[in-house]
Amino acid sequence: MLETNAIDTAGSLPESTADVRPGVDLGALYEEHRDLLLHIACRKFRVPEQDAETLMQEVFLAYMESGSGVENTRGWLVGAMCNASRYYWRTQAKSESLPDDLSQQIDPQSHGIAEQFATSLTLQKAMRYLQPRCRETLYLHYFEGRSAADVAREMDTTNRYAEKLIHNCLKRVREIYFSITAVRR
Amino acid sequence: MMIEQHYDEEILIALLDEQTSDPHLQVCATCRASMNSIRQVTTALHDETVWDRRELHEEPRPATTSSLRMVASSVASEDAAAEPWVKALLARPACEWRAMFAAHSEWRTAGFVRKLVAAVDAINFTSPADAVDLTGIAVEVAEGLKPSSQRLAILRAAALREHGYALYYVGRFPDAVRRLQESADLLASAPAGAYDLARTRLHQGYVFSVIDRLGDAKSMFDEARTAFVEFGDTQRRIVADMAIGTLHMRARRFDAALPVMHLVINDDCATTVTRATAYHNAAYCYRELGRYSEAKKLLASAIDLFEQIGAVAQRTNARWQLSRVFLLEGNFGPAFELLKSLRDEMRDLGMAHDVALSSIDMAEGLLMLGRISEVPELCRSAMEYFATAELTYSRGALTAIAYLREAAESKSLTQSAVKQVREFFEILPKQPQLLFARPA
Repeated sequence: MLETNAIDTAGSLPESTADVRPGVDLGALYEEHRDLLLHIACRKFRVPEQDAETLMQEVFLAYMESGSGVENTRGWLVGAMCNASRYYWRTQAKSESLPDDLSQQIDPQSHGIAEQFATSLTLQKAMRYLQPRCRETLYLHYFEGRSAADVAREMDTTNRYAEKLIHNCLKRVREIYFSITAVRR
Repeated sequence: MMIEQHYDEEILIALLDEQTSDPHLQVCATCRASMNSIRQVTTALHDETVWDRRELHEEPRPATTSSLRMVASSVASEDAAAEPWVKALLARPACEWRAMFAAHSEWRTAGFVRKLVAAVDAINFTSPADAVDLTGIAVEVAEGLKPSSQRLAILRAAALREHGYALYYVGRFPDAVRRLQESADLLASAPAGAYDLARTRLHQGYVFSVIDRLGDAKSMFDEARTAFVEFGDTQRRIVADMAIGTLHMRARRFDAALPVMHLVINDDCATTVTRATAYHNAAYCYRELGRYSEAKKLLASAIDLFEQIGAVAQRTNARWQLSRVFLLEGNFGPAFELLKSLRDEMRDLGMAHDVALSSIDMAEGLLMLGRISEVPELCRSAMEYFATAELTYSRGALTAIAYLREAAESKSLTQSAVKQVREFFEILPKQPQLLFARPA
């Protein structure tokens, strides 16, 4: 048993519960975050787009009902979308097979999950503006984890050129990435 | 003038695959930040979503925007209508609430539930029994709401959670367990109920820890913590950390509690009161591990922080713990002087139970200082205070202090007898009917 002069924490909850957030325009919030949430549901969790839209509505309604104590709106919405997508597959699993890696879709221990998703969404968009050869190079090296020598073999070029290509393509994709985020700001 | 040299992007990219850390990066924050920014991109390139070429319908759907606005507006109207009802209810004495509620069938709305639940927070700490009644009404209304939807399920679960917490607060633990489980079940079957479920899990953890289901409590806290991390809720994540640390303390696993408390102490996002509490709890762990100098150092930090934010009762508590450390390390003189000033503070703050406990600590100090003849007077004034404090367990408390006085008068008082009285006082608030058994 704890002595009475050791401090317990039950009394220090940052509570207040179900007071709906005053003055929040839920429609505007939806418009602001839809792109990111759709990216998560459809690309990360492979939820069909039509169902993702319905899930997203549930997420915004839950956000409204969850009270005024939400600290980080984007983080909250991203967390809720991830969980709603998992819920979707749990209920769908009764009639369909689950994606194999569903449980590994996200690392719950990592911080800044919303930030990671925002980065991957921006990069996904950036890829559209990249030359196919550059896209292929980055895919082989970063996604498939191939060495520069491997990339050189695959692309029928020298090791030295493949290394240069990897560097240049990374620089280029970062340029596009920053121009997209600058426009967004 | 020295010109600071920085790596360009070319060099930083070349350093990406280096196994050993570059000496310049270790000392240059600017280059380190640039490197982190590059790493952020290369890490994301491992993510399959970046390579997904499917085109999604990127534009927001006007139908969804307007439907969300419509729901929000109807919820706002409901809340506005309920506000004066709840004010009217709370303006009456608690014993009239049920009858008043029964006379107003129009109050059975979601807005009324939300306003009741929002109002209950303050009442929990000032009038816990009333909080039980109020949340009971909220649950009754919430359970009758139709048609059923996820949104209403979350609201119903919030009412159940608050009811469960109020029941926990008044010590009705089995009822609290049941209500909180009902809340959790509702949320587990709501598509977007995970965040609220985490909040319920936190409450379940608190109840489980007081009824000594420590394993269940740990699972609840862990689950809540994971969810709060995922939802980017730093403050609640820290609350979960503190809960996990306190749970280790409850199980007397002080070695396990310490790293958690230090994590909170070093967390930039922790509020001052939370950090001060973590200092205090870490000090408690060090004290139990016999590492008194670390305990004193951390208590000094806790006292300082509590002082800064004007948390008088917590500061008193931390100073009291410091006096306990003095007693344990055999520093009886300073311990006694500190306890003497603390007892007056506790009286001023109305901390009746703590006055009794600190009096027992003072008796121990006097005994060890060889000033046993002063103990009867100390006990007499504590008994006088107790007679007026009207605690539910005054009878048992008075018997125990009377025993201390008599033993001191007959010079038969021992340190182990003082410890026995102290242990009795530790249990009394939870078992007010307990009678004091004199040591053999």
